[in-house]
Amino acid sequence: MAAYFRPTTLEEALAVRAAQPVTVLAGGTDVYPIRANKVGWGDMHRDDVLDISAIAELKEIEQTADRLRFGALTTWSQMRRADLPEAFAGYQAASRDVGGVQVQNRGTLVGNICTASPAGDGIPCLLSLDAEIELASARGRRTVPIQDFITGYRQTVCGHDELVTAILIPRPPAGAVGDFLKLGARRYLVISIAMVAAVIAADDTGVIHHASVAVGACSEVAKRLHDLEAALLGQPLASAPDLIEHAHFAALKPIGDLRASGHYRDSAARDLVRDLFVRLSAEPKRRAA
Amino acid sequence: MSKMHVKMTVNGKPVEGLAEPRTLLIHFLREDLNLTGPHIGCDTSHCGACTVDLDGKSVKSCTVFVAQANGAEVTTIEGIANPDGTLHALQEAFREHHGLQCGFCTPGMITRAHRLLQENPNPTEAEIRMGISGNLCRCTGYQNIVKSITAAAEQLASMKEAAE
Amino acid sequence: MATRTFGEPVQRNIDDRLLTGQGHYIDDIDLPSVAHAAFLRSPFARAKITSIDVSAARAHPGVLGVFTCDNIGHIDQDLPLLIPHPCLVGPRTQRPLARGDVYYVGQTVAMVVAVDRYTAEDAVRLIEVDYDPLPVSVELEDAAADGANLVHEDVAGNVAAHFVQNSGDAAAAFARADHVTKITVRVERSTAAPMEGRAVCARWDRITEQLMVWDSTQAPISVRGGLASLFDIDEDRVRVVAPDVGGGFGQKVLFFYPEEVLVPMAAIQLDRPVKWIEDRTENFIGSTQERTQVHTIELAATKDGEVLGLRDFFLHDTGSFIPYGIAIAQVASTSIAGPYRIPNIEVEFKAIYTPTVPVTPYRGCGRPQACFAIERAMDKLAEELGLDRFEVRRRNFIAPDQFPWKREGLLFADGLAVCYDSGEYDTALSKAAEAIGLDRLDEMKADARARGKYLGLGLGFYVEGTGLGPYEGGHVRIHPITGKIYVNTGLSTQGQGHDTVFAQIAADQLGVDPSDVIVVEGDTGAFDWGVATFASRAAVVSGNAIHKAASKAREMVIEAAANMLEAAPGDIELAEGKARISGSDRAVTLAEVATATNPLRYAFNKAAQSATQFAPASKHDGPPLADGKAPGIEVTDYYSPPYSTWAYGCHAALVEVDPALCTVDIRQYVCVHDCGNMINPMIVEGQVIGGMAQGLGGALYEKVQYDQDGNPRNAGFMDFLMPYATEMPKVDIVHMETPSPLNPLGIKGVGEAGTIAVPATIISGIEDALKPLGAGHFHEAPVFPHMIFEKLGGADQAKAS
Repeated sequence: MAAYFRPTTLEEALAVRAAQPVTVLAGGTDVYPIRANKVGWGDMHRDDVLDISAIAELKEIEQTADRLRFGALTTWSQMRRADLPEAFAGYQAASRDVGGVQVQNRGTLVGNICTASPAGDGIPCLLSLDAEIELASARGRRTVPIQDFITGYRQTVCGHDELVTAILIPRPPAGAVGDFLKLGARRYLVISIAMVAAVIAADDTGVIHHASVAVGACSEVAKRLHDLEAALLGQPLASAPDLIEHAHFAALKPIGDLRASGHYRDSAARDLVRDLFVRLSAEPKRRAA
Repeated sequence: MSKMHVKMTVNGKPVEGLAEPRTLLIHFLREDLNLTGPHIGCDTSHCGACTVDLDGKSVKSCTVFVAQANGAEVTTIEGIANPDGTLHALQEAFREHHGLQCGFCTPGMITRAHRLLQENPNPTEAEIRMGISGNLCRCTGYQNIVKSITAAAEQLASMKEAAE
Repeated sequence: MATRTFGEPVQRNIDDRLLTGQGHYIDDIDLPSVAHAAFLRSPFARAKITSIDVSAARAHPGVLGVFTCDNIGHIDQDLPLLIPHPCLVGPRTQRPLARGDVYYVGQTVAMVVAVDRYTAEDAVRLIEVDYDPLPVSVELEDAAADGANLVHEDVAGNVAAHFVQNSGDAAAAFARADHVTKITVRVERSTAAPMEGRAVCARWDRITEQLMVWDSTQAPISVRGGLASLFDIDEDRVRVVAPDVGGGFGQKVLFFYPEEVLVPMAAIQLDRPVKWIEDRTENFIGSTQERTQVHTIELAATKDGEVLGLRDFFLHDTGSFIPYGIAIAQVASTSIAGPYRIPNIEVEFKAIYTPTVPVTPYRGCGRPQACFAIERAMDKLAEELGLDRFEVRRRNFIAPDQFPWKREGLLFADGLAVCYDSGEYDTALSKAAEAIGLDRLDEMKADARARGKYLGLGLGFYVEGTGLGPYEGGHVRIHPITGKIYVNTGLSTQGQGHDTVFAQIAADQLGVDPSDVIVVEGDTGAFDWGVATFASRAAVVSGNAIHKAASKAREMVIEAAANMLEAAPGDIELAEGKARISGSDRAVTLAEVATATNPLRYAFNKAAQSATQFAPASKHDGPPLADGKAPGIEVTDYYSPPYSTWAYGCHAALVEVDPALCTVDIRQYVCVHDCGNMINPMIVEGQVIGGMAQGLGGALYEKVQYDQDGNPRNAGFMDFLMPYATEMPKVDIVHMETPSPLNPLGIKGVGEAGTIAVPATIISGIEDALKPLGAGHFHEAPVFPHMIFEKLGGADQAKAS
């Protein structure tokens, strides 16, 4: 029979992690459904479980002058309620839209990226925020940019002896605002057809000096749209919706599955980005409403 | 797997038991504590019939190991009624407005609504619909559930006002 | 006189229990030493089983029994064909456990019973089966095509049934028509997905030789009859109870599911209680589904839009077996003309086997498909003739004075003629137009355009044959101690609120409060004549039976009370639990009446003293209980409907489409419905809106999908998208009450009403909204955003760029 470990310190957890193959469990909102999804009952016999949910040091959100640090146990609910710079508005919107309240109360931001589903709602947000992922093992700590952390369909660089300990996000440029939109066949508890996240900063005259735009569910791994970002720089924010070109989306390789066709995904991604830019270029008050 | 000794407060009463740590909270509640109000409806955390309150937050008890609830405060549908045994305003409102039919989703729905009204005592219709969006009901079409929660919010507000 | 509760929104008697977590669904029943069953199911849509090795499973610690077709005795047989029909050309039903062949992914191959479910599931995985997979044709049209891979080797063309019915002379009507409209519509497969899956628990009592079965079923009496027959036990040694049941919607009607037979068998063989609780995946692969039909419907009309004739040919997907006969296809084919006169009809269908989960009725049962076909055809006819959609309907409605409207030659699913009993169709349409604000439609459309959206009007009219026979019973008894009324009927509840409406019916006759009526149904130990809950029939059939029984009980109470009070029966009124002389305070309680009518020897309480043999009131000549009399107040009566009653209604919606994202937003939804006299409008409304949520699923969200090998693609709530509260729009309901002339209460059924017209309504709204963009016709249900995208040419544009 499998073992179940619930250490209270990171050190102990890393020792367990190094000693045997384990399923790492935090909020459990991905682990349980997969378990239930028919290999179902009794599947826990196969893999030992490392439950990291009791490690207090992983629960903190810290803000310093140059960055924000979200401990590995930060839940969607914590994200949703946290007092954060406006650039995080998209990530916070994603946190409101994911899974329904009960899942938001248990599910973690880090769990979402470790599952590394192409449709993980948090991933485009992290890409748009230039996040880095902090990993720890008995060998030491390292940080990996989010775009290098996820390497493929449900694959990450997290080693067999490693745990993700935090998400690190550099303090966004002054005036940066973020937003997020997703399209699903249903409002909640649905695997997204496409989602987009952006962080844009404009100066006092409304000229864009920082832009990062990312699209999820339209490729194996969510992607930044660097060509689009380049096209936005130096342009008035108000014109952003009009600057979108088909070619900016060339990096995406949307597939058809039971939720949507590839063409529809592709088209929806462009429309979502346009809608997102319309919202971002609107007056802040209107955006809030 | 060896069993562990777990202790928690359920519906205001201290309870303890021996359970494999991998036992899901929903199984511990139903099978060890005989609290069969919360139900299992889906196995994939979509239906919300197993919703309970865990340390002041709504959770699906099919996505919590009993070990993770060790030392926690848990409230189930069995603990929602008033201390004198009369129905809570929410339960009354569900009855009055026909907010339930087969009753299978009802324990999770009410437990969720109970927490929702603590988070937001005066929700709009849209906020109620979003607030219960982790709970499936196949009988009612939700309209009477929304009506029930709205009515309960009003009732609780007027009770609070009367008390002040 | 007592206040009549009929027509009042009386609160439900069972709610206090359900609201406090005190319900008892089968998994809540705690049976000492209960063992748990788990099933090995076929991973192939069609395959030959070449070998099964259960030795490892049998040796697994904690396993009590492993069963395959080789050790289940004489129940290794084809399960019954429940509703035989002469047009079934190749009826096939499944066996409890596969022998030799498997016919769908999910079919039961072996069963393990163990000390707990975890152990049973572990052992299931230790069973080794070798399969020889066979090629399959999964899609309905493919399975019906020439050269299709066969589901059953000996059923040519996969045709399970082929049936033609005629009313009038369709050929002549088409010959003289000015115009013919022809469309093909397709409705996809869905599933009931009750929140509680199926569940069976059985206990064999060796001492009394009684088999006790708790079954989350809609048909306990029928399950009992079947079990007694299969196990060759006297019927009164089998008791089947449907306790609290967490929804059914048709899926829990079918008997037998393999598990319903195998769990009791294991309980007998192992001499130990056995329980099986279906998990959600099993519900998607092992519990019946419905809806796939492809109709080609033609309307022959005059240039003024009067429809003279209708032809409909459709394929009906029956899955891998056809245990329920042609019921669904027959309901669809006989509902096809909707509320319209259409005097000449030819309907033909073929029921086709596909290697998928078997098909039996799901709430609506063929009616949503028929409604979608006729209503979309009427819209097309209006468009082609340049007529208004409302007007073309008006010109064809059966008028109120034309009832009863018989469609001679069409037999409904009860074997009786299709005969509509009453209705005010035109009024319903007008009320829908008014409630949706038809006069403001252009304004609303312009407003949507200003926001970059397109708005359309959805419209759907439905009729629903309800309250099918053959019969149900009602048993009414007054308890001598408490004076409470005990009511029983044979069918069972899945949460509709039977107990309350049945209580109201009895309460009105006996002058008590409905909360003093205790309704026990779904327990063959309490009442064992009747059929089951299906086809919106409980209120009509059981309700009228209970009404008849309660009326007789009322007469008995009045007669006895008149004797006790020495008054004329005509002066007795029943109210507040008493029989009273009108205008006086002289009264006896129902408890006293029930006691006094039961000659007693023992005075076990004060009231009983007056009924013992030495009490003054007992002095009379002859035996204490006169010849031909029964003790107490107790009546059983039955109701058998002459025809089905036909309920109807009209839905209208304002549907807004985002032309870029292709998403749909329902801005307003109106439902006008008429189910005859309403016993309890609160419960009626609950039924209607609940049904509409399932209709909404069928319009926009829910489709059971299989890949080309017959593997289910969305067997769970993750990708089978049922509406949450955020999807369901607020619905405005307008009640109409045109009594049915067919039964004493003047009622019609309502259980399925809400579901039927929603796809036709919403999808016609999408079509109307996108007309300015030239999107064309929407003749499939459900409509997903990517389908709108394709209709708008998005895919072509994408390819071009």
